[in-house]
This record gives sequence, C-alpha cells and structure tokens, in this order.
Amino acid sequence: MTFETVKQVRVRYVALIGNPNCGKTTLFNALTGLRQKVGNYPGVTVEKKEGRLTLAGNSEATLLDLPGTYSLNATSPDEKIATDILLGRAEHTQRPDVVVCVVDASNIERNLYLVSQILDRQIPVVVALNMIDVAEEAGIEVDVKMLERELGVPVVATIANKGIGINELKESIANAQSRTAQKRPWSMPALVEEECGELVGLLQQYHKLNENSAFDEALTLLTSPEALEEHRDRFAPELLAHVQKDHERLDFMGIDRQSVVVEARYEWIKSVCGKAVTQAQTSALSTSDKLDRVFTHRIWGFVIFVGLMALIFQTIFTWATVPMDLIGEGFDSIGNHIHEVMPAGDLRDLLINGGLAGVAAVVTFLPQILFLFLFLGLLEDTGYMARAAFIMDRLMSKVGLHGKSFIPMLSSFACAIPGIMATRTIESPKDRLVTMLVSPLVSCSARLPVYALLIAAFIPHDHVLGFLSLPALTLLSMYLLGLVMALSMAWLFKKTLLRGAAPLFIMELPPYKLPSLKSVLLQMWERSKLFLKNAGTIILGVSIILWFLATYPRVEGVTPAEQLQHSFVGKAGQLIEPVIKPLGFDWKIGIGIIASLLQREVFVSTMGTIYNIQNSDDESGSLSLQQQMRNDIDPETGLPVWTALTAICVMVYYVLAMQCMSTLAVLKRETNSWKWPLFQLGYMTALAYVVTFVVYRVGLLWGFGV
Amino acid sequence: MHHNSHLSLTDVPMGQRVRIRQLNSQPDFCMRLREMGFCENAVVRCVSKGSGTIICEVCNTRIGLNQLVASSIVVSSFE
Repeated sequence: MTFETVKQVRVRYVALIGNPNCGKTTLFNALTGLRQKVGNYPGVTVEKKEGRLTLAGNSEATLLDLPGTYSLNATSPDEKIATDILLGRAEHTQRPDVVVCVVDASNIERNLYLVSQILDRQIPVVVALNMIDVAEEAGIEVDVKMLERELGVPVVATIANKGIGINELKESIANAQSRTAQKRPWSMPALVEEECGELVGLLQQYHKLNENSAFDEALTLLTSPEALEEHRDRFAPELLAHVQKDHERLDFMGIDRQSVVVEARYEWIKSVCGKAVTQAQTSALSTSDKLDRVFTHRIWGFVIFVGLMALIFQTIFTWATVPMDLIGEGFDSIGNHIHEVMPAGDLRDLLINGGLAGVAAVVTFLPQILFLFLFLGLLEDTGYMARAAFIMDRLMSKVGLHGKSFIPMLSSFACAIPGIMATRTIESPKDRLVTMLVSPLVSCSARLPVYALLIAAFIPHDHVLGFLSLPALTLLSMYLLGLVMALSMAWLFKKTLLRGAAPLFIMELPPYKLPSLKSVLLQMWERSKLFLKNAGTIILGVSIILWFLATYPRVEGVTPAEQLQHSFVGKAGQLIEPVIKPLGFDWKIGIGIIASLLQREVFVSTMGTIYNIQNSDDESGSLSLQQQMRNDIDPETGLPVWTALTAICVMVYYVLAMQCMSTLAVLKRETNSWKWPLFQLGYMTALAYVVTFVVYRVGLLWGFGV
Repeated sequence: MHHNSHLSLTDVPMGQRVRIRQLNSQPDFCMRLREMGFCENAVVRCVSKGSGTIICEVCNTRIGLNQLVASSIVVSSFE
C-alpha cells in the first residue's frame, strides 16, 4: 500500500468507532482476545471499555471501544462521549493515535456517512469492512481495493465472529500513517463552497483558527439554524454579520442550509458505492422481513411478547429448582460436617449461623439468576430486544415516553444499573431522566431471591388454567406490578415534574440472527462471578455482623428465641416495629428490611441467620429456612408470624421500595447531583409503604390474613 | 399513487418504495433522520405497519418509526 503522505505513527492508543449494530463489540473481542469487563450487562455498549492489543513486533497498544454512533453530531449522551474522545475534547481520555472505523459491509452506504465525517479530521484511519459474509449472502459485493482507493485510507475486510481478517487489521493498525491535509473528497454546491471558503478565511483571520477547525466552525455557522444565537459571544461581530448575509443569500437561492452538507456527503458516498459496491437486485422478502411480519404484527407481536415473558418466568421457577435443591443440600452437608467436627461454642455458631446460613440462603438462588440472564442474553443476541422496544412503543407513548425507554426497563429486569446506563441512548434529557427515575421499579435479579424464598414457603402449589402454577403466576404478578408501577410513575412525572413534547421514536432494528452461545454464556459467567463475589464479601460481612448483633448481649438461662429478642437486633427490631406493624410485618421482617437497604438479597441471608439462631437448640434448627419461617409462632398472639398475605405484602414492599445503594450512586453519577437520587429514594419508599398498607388492609378485609 | 404527488410516509402502502422529498421536524431531529439514512432523495421501502408504528427499509437497514415521525417525512412516488 502506498500513500502520498507517509509518516509512520507511533501506535499506542487505538479507538474503535462505528454505527450501532456494525459488529464493533465482536471485533473488539477478536482484536484484544480479552474478556470484556463491562460486557456482562445485556444491552448496548455504553461504558468506557478498554483492552490490550498486541500488534506486529510485539508492540502493545490500548484499544478503546467507543459507544456506537451514527455521526459526530452528538445528539445523545453516549454519542457525545464518542465524539469528544475522537476530537480530543474528553477530559480523562487522550486523543487516539489511530481510529479503526468499523463499517457493516451489508449496510455500507449509511456506515460510510460516519466514515466521511472522520476522514475530515486528519486522524490516521483504518477502515474495517466487517461482516462481509453477511453482505455476500445478501448479494452485495464490495471491491475492497477500489474502496481503499476511493476513501484514501487502508480498508481491511473482516468477519469478526469467525476471526477472519484480524491479523491483517492489526497489521494495518501498526502501519497506520498520518494523513496531512488531504483534499476533502466530497463537495457542496458551488455557492455553498464559495461562502464556506470565505468564512474559513475570516475565521482564520479574526480568530486564528487552524484550517481544520476553521472549516468545522464555518460549516456549523452556515448550516446550524441556531448557530448565530448560540455563538454570538464567541465570534467577532464582523464575522457574524457576514454569516447573516450568507444565510440570506442561501435562503434566497432556495438552498436548504440544514440538509446541504448531509446531502453532499451522501452524494459522495453514492459515487464511492457506485464504483466499489455491486448489489444484486432482490425483491424477495428476507428472512428478517418475514419474521418481522409476525413478531412486530399489531396483534400477534404483542401476544408473542407476553407469551415469551410468561414462558421465561415459568421456566425460571421450574427448571431452576433442580440445581437449587442440589446447592441447598450441599450447604446443609457442609453445615452438618462443621457441626460434627467442631466443639460446641460461639465459634461454631458463628460459622454455621453467621457465615454459612447467610451465604447459603443467597447462593441457592444462583441458578435462577443464571436462567434470567440466559433469557435476557438470548433476547438481546437474537435481535428480539429491539423488536420488544418497537412493540412497546405504543404503550410507552401512552405514558409520554417512547419505545427506546423500554430497553432500559427490560435491562432492569437483570439489574437497574445497566438499565440506568442504557438510558444514554435516549436523546431527550427529560425523557431520559424519567426513564432513570422509574427503571428501578422494575423487578431486578436481586429481588428474585426474596420473591423465590417467600413464594416457595407460602404460596401453595396449585394450578391455574391447567398449566400455570400458582407460584409462577405470583412471580409473574410481582414482575408485572413493578412494570405497571414504573409506567404509571413515568406518566405522572411526564404530566407534572418533567413535562415535554410528544416523543419522536426512531430506532434501528438489527437483522434477526441465531444467538451466539459463547457470548450468552460469557455474560452468564461474568454475572455469576459478580453474584458470588457479592455473596462472599458483602453478604458474608453483613451476615457475620448480624450474627453478633443477634447473639449478644448474652442472657443466661433463656431459650434461643427469648435470647434473640433480648439481643441488639431484637431490641432494634422492637424499636421499629410500630412503624411497620400497619403493614403486617413483625420485627424480624423489619430487621430484614433495614439490613437489606444496602442490597435486596440481604433480606434472604438475614432471615437465614435470624431463624438459625432462634431455632439453634431444638430439632427445627435443622429444618429448611422455609419450614422454619412457616413454623414461626408469635409468642404474644399464638398466631403464625407469616401468612400468605404477609409474604405477599413483603414482596409488594420489595417490588416498590428503593433498597439498593448502588443504583442511587449510579443515578448520582449520571445526573451529577444528589437531588434526583434522594427524590428517587423518597418517592419509592413512600410508594412502597402506601401500596403495601393498602394491600394488607384489603387482604385482611377479604379474609386472607389467616 | 399519482406521479410526483407528495405524501407522508404514513400513507405509503406496505412493500412500496418511495423517495424522500422533505423532512418537517425539529432541526436536530431532522439531522438525526438524515444520519440514519432518511436523507432527502433517499429511497425508502415500507416493510410493515403496526399500530402507530412503521418499519421501513432504508440503506439496507430496517428502521422502526412512530406515527409522529413518519408523518413528518414527505415522500413522493418512486420510478
């Protein structure tokens, strides 16, 4: 390859940029061979993600995966990140030495739009023409050599998911050359070119800008409708007067100032494609089209969506029980073993009741969480997730949001944190804030252990409609309650606090594809690592502290149940009991709620620890946690502490209450103030209290309290 | 459809190819439409219509739009 302007670049920092859905993340994996740290969340790439890249001659470089973007005119927050880094405007990230621009070969026209903007920037560029196999299947042939000549930068054909072209791409990156003042390949109508040229001259004269940035500013001043008002303070009055005249002239000539640059770029792209791309005319419907006729059908689409969700929840509850029982038995035998080999005493109690009981209670739910992530991963990987957003747009528009707000909510079924980060694709700041405020109402995987424990213990195994089991239906109801509340609150916020115009919805629907088992399994693996790490640190820590607080101060000659009541935990529980009594909660549940303010699944470990201590010296101590909870009798009233109604009330409380510090911290980071996280904490807790109260009272009226 | 008659994208029957004439929306949203391929003179095919939503094919990609967006895109018959 020979280029006119040859100057070898020292490649230390490389950035990957490209449209959404162009296979950028797959290419990132193929190039670095490193497991992604942030890829464990299903959903779009929104975080800063870096990996090590070994180039020819064993030189090392850092590869940065930028968020997918359609252009360098940032409209949404994630696109702004990409643009800022590329233009060297980001505070914490240096400007890359080389940019690898990923182009989806089957959608080359639109992808080249971003390339044309990047080519204007004089940064060393390598184009990775990705998914050429998909393009060939669709009858698209690309002449790589011709494309290379037309673009004036190296082009490498790749199939990232099969590892094809990766070495060639690395070689091109290592040999990337600086590009000095090349002629801009695209041109605008003569009049616009003329005025643009004049403005560049004036900008260089008045503001000492270099040619490159002068051209940028000139284009913005000429084409942006608000440019004059926005930049009034930045430019000399003489210059602005000139711009004003230019506008009048172009308007008089009937030139649409806003679209002229985009059209010019597309004109150039058309001529490039005319030379380098041949496409066989196909009028037949593609498989994706046929599938979309069904999956996005106005009636069938919705039916299929609801059916899929029901199937997922049913499966989570039935399939996962087998490995869950195995894990439970495993922990039991470890406990029994410790019980046998260690002498009786505080240390043994601490190990069994403090450490093991708490951790076991939570780890048991790992299979269910894995299943949830398996299904979310499959939805994302097959391309169905975007269709779900599309189907839900009508519903979402009823509450004043659009379909894109549904993806963060769907991600929040896994965890509200990736959910909140996925809101970065929403263009309107108000809609984004509303989505962030309500997404944590959607039931996340941390609530699943709470629901699962209570449902297994208190909801009878009856069948409804012949095929849905009552436990699965209860679980589905909890998930629906969260979703309905999220939508209702969104509607309320859009009507009151954050009024805004009706949302404009536009979204790319990637082609359907068979899911890659590898990437789905990778997500599940990353997620289970995180979950087990939490169990081993936070949950273990809280369990041990709780054990101390529930065991001391020691009182001699009383039963363990009385001892528990006299402990620090018991005293604290009785202190808060008046507040939670109206919800039908006893003091033990109160302790569970307080301990799980940090994160919700701590409720389960807390129950594990408290009940193990309470029943430590009689036969029931060896029963399962569910059994111990069912057997728990209130000493004052002689009635069971837990009824099906209590269980439902606790679940409803957990659906609605903000019991997750990490979510608040992420919201603080995203909104840059404590105002909204505090608001979220306040409104969710109030909502939880009021709704649980109503459910409890109505339940009592209907006679469910026994 | 009459030759050169101007319609909005909402009026286009399923399967029909049309040419984009004009975008009537807020300036920055028009910009976004253009970047996603809905540029003046681009050819669009209506793939399917849901309730209040439309799927179009432009530049070999399927894009979902809602009624509000589709009604702001002025098109004319192609060919």
